[in-house]
Amino acid sequence: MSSFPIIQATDLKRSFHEAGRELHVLRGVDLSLNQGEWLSILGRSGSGKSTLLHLLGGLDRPTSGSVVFDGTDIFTLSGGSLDRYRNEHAGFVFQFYHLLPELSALENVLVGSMLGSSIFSWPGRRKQARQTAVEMLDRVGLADRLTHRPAKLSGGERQRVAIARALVNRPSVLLADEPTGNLDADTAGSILDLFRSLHKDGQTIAMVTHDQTVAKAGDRVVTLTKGRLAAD
Amino acid sequence: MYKLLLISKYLRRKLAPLFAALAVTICTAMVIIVASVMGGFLELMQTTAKQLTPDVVVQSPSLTGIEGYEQIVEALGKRPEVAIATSAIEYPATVTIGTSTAPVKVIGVLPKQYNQVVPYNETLMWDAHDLIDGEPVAVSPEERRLIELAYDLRGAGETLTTPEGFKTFDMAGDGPSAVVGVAVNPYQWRLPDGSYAFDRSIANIPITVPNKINPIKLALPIFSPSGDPIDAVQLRIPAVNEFKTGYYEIDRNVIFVPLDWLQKSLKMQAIDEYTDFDELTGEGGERITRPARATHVYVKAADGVSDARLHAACEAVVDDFLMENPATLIQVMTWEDVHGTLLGAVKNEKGMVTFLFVIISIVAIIMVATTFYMIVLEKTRDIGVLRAIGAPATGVLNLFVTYGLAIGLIGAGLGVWLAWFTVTNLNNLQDALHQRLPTLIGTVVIALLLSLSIAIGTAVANRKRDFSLGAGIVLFLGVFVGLMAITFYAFPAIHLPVISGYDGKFGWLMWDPQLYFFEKIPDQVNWTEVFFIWLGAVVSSVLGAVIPAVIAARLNPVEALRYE
Repeated sequence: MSSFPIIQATDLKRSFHEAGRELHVLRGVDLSLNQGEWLSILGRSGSGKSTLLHLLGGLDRPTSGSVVFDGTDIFTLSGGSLDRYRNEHAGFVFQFYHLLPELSALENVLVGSMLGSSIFSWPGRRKQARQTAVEMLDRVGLADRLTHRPAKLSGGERQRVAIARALVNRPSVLLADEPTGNLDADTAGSILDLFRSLHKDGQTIAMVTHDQTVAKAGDRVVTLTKGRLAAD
Repeated sequence: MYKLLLISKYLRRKLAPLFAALAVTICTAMVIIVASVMGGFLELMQTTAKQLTPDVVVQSPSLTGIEGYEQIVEALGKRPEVAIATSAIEYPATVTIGTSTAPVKVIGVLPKQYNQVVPYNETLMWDAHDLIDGEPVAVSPEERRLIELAYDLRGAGETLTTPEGFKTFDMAGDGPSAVVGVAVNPYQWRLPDGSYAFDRSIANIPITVPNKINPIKLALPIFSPSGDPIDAVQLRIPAVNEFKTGYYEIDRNVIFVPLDWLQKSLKMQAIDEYTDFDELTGEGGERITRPARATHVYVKAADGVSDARLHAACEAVVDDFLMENPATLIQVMTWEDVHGTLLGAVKNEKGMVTFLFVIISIVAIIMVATTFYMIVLEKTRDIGVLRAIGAPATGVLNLFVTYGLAIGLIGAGLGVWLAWFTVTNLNNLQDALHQRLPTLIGTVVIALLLSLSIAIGTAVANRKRDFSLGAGIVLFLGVFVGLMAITFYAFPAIHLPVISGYDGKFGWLMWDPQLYFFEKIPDQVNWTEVFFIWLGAVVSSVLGAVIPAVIAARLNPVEALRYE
């Protein structure tokens, strides 16, 4: 199934200044993520796996190194282009869902589509965008929860909404940060089933987890230890 | 587009923006109310002060007056800027009415000309009719209406006649007569509603005005043309009418009399003199005629001529006059200069009060900024999420600035409405506070209880614990304003059992018309001022949101996502 690398990270380093000393979180990570691949990044808490995921998604900038997507180092892009990269090519799923509490499930998914639209262009796109958002919620099994706000949804349902939001712009890669970390075993299993289904349909996935069982759901597992990849 | 969606949700589902909008509403309303009332007060003062004050006054600072003033009147009459110029004497005196003596200013005028310079006839209080025993009896317009109704004259298609001559003292009968300011007569009372009593039924009042039988007594000092005090005169003159401008300083201090009568009484008419006359030998000397003197020349501007232009024209005429009469002292003043002290004080007061409320409004801006900062803190994780799904930093900045704009538009819009409602109902509110305070308080309490009952009932029916306080406040305001409107517009309609019984026993008089210049509180809104205050409130709200918005835009998305 794997073919060509969709994302290529080279010598990624990221350090933070904390309490007067430098904390090296990533110490030079080389990683490639192939088209259609489900890559699991395994590591303990504080190993730098979330930081790595944020760098792959352009949410954070490295101290040094590069992340090449579609032939371009995303960190050489302008702020606006990097925002567009996140909106169109990287779909984030977080451990704590991070839904916008004032919006319904449908609106949470639609926000991703709205980001690229102005008040003038939106009326022309609204019908298609809404249909896509409904399809995404249907895909994750929440067709009957469109108008529910996050507070009225269970943990598993919230994560499904978050996955639908991440997928609404049909991103090149789904970046999942401990997507089952906050769920009970049964619900976590159903979320992994959803990921399997998405992967089967060709979705490229990079998933961060501390759980070996969950990590094994992916095609390939790499382990991050003390800021370095231990196995690839 | 996502910004509009989020703003509409934040506005409807959060209390903080509601309170921020409420702060903007109250501040906007406060500034508009203060500016409107003070501005209305100033305008009313200007209108009433202007009523009997000419556009421009050419005056002598000395009581000896201007010798040859006719020359100035004639020269002014030829200027295109001047509609009419007329002479007058303004003179200090004491007036004795009954047993009361008080200082006043006696003004000698030529009534017909004076009435062309200012709307003098419109200020006269009393009309007359010859209904009773053929004697002219003075009545006020209200008395006239009542008499007409009592005699069913209106039913017969008739109204009382108004002999034109009665209005002006020079035609009031034989001999000179006076028209006195309505507040000059100490036996005439200003009633609680601000009107003046003219009660013929009170027999022990020694003097009422108009009264041609019991003259008023005036005492005036007399000066020679060179300024030496040479005599004092006591004059008796019947008062035939009263005038009322509403400007207390004028109504309390001024008595109008005919110019020629005053001029003769003060020995200011043209007189013959001998120059270089030797009193011992009785020889020598040349007979000359010294021209008549007047202290003032009143000037009315021609149509379309500004006060400033007229002032300049008068200055030019006076300059020419002074070339020929260099020893004369003459001042040229616009009507605003004449009343400068009082009008200036009110202007200053308006400026100061508005400034104070602007400072209070700055507190509101800080409050809006604080509210926004709290909103940004509360929304930190949302900002991280938005950045993670591709929202640009400028988008986040715009989101919160637009949010501030929305709050400003809603708050300032409501503030304008609240101010308009309050200002245009100030006199009703005054009546309600004074005469129906218990009912007013009862209405508010009932509105509060009613809205809370609806709020709690709705919450219970929907099995919600977190009933929106905002909805409750809006509900309360709606019920309150509705009941207030009923209270104001159908005043007697509100009747609260028991509570209404205490109406009249308790009350707060916000504006006592018995003491003040005007009977009514100014209730006009200046929409130009309102526009700028509204604009200021909206801009302030946006400014209050800018710093928190910049903070939000500069947040590191990863840190924002981890924010607890």
